[in-house]
Amino acid sequence: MNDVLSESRFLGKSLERSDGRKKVQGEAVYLRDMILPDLLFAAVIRSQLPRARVKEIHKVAALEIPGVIDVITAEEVAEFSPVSIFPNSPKIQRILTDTPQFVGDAIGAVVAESYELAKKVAEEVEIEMEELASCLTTEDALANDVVIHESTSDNFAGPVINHVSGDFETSIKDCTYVFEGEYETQRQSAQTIEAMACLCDWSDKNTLKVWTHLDSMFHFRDSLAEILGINVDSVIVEPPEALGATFGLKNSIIASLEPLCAILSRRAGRPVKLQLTPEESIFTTVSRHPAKVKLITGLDENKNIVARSAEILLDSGAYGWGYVVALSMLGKWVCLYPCDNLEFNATSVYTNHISGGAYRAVGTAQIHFAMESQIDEICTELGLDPLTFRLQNAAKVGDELPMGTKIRSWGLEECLEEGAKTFEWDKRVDRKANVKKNLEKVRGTGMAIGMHHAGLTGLIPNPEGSKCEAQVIEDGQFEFRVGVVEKGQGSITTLEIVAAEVLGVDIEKIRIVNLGTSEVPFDFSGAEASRTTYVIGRAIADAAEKIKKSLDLNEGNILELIGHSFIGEFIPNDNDPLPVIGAHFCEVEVDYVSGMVSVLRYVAAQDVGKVINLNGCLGQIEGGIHHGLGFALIEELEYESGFPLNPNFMGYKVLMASDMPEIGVVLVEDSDPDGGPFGAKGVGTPVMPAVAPAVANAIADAIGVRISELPITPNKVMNVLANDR
Amino acid sequence: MGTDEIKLSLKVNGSLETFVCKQFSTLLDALREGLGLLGSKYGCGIGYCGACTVLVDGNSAHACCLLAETMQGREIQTIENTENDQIVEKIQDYFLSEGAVQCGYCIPGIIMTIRGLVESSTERVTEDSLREHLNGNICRCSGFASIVRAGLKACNYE
Repeated sequence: MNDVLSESRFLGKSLERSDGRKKVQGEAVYLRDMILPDLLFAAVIRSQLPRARVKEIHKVAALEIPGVIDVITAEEVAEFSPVSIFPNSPKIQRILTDTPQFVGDAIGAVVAESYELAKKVAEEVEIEMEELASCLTTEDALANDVVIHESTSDNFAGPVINHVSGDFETSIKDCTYVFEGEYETQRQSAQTIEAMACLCDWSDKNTLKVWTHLDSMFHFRDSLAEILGINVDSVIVEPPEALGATFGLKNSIIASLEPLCAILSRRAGRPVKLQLTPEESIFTTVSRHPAKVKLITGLDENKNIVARSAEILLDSGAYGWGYVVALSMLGKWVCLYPCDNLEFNATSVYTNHISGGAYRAVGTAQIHFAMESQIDEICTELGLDPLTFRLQNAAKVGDELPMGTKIRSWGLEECLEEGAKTFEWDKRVDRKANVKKNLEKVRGTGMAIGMHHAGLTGLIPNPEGSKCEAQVIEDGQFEFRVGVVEKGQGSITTLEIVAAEVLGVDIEKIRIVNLGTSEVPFDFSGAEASRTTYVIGRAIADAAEKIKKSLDLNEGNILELIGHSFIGEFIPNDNDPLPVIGAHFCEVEVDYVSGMVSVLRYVAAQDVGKVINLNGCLGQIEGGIHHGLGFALIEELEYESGFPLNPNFMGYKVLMASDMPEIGVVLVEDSDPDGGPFGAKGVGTPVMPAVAPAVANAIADAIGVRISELPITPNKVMNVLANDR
Repeated sequence: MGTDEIKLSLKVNGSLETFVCKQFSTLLDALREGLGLLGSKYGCGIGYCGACTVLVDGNSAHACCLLAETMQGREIQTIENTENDQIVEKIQDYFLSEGAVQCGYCIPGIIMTIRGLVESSTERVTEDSLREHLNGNICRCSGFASIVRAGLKACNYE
């Protein structure tokens, strides 16, 4: 591959994305825009109570309304067993339930000739409910006075995750310096601009066709087949022509979306569209798992970290899978600051709120806020340079990842150096001398590092790996069929570049085909976990190399290869997913009068291994910082007594254009020889973890007080300032 | 025509369109359902995300918050009007070259917002004024960075 690298034509360049023209002209067809002949519309009847038993839904009256085709409740779908949405988690989620577990839980559905009618009937149908005692805090859930789910004996959302190595208890007593801190992160919503929807056509009893928001076609196909009790080959999952971005929100099916819509289509014998409202899309899907993290870190006299412990409590909401989040946290917690004496304990419980689920940097975002806040406290307290201290204590090349893979490539030093240079870290003012309480606005600087991974090797029971079917087609184009999902991140362009670069042909000659599960080779995880460039990219590169070899053998006679099939494949040799590191720097201004925090400057140095698609890289990093700053400062789906307080765009605030700072992106290329194509790594998720702690550290620098609970809203700032005065 | 339907005449993209739509339809519903113009997107439905932004008499407006009936006699311009609007084409080109398009769902609305700014601004558009003007649009993919880069180039293109 190195020969190609030296004469690369497309690597690292900004190319126009192939779906871009249609998108800017408003011609791209999204799920919202899709209709089929004979289409019916569905709406979900939802619980208005945090926890209840449905006594009666008056279906008969609703069915008599002209235009209403079908009304179903839990009893019509009772034949389908409860399922686990994530592999190995408790089987608790039903397509429709008669014991709803959060406000918004699906208790019935209406199908009608129009969307408006379906919605109106679903909202107005007469329901009789008996309210049940609920668990609204993790502490309530731990007490087990109320056990939320009938099929589980307690409220634990999966096993408690423990990790012990060395002897923490003894070694912490010998430490010269011991730091303890408690940190809390909130329920963050992906708040996608396109509301979630699903369209199913099961009018032909032998084939169920599904168009939906998704990260992976095959994961969805297999889950659907399992839930519906049918053969996987009778389910075809297709991405719509254009997908509104989901940021992990749709890494799995939602029982009351795809399976429900499929059943409604089969009952009606017509295609059915289930379109969620923007509000439903926020408060009835999934959110980031809120976390409480208690960290103890001990240093020896040389200021080396020698003992660490973490005690974590995760809120899984009604049907979340916090133990998987805990595993993700453990991976980064163990690796980022390696030491001999470790004790980790993470418990996850169900509560009667929206389910926890996947969202950009699952677990990693939460644990980094805690870890990197505490590292900053240590540096401030002991007067240490935060860059040097991190370099001295953080993981290095050759260190082992949790399942034994040695780190081959780790551009931490370069991220710190280049990021600091771009930010002009050395020129920052010493705030301690400068903070005067009579100033109206004070500035501060902060930094943090963030580790995430690309791929899912060893993290899920399903095998990690991708296949690609390639062929030369009649017009001399090269076609690559892969299970990639393009939801905006620019993967198609990235994969086009990989293929063109390996083959040494023009980008126009490359066609990436991702039509649906019946058209492309099996690929379980699709676009989950920032794996597309790494895993699918390698499968494409493998197929392209094979075509190239054949072309070399027949002296470049392309026409002779028409009709031949070339199979590319990549299964990572490692036991762990690919580690990715970044270092972020920011400057904030805190208003002492209002408590408002403005981020003035931001620099993100990310080790991407190798830049393949420049616009794609920048877009992922700049966009990730938007989600990270929102996590740090403003975004929270709030609940009171089990009721969502802000489940719409007016209430759930995100940062707008003028709230966003200018972002400097530093692309570090510490290529991994057995990583993605040309040494590339992942970028979309790994950008997330460093953001919130970098901001929190800058705020602490500005006001001299630490805020350890996200989001850092003006209220929280005013509270700590009032207590500090 | 049903009892809950009305006949509307709207001037859209230069031509007068007469069609039937539901009473109390928003401008967005009238465009999407009445005229089949799907380029304006339904995002939040309450005037916060801007995915539905169109021009009304040259000014950008959230089509999800306007009553279609009150728009009769006004000049409506949507993203579909590309062929007649070189400024929109210019904005589109810069969006593509700057990589400002990711999932793209918010993009037609953002392009119309910038088109409205070009129309109304008498002074050179600065980064601050552009960001301020974009505060009625949400892009969840880009962090607005590439959108601001593309928008500034388009606004100040001579």
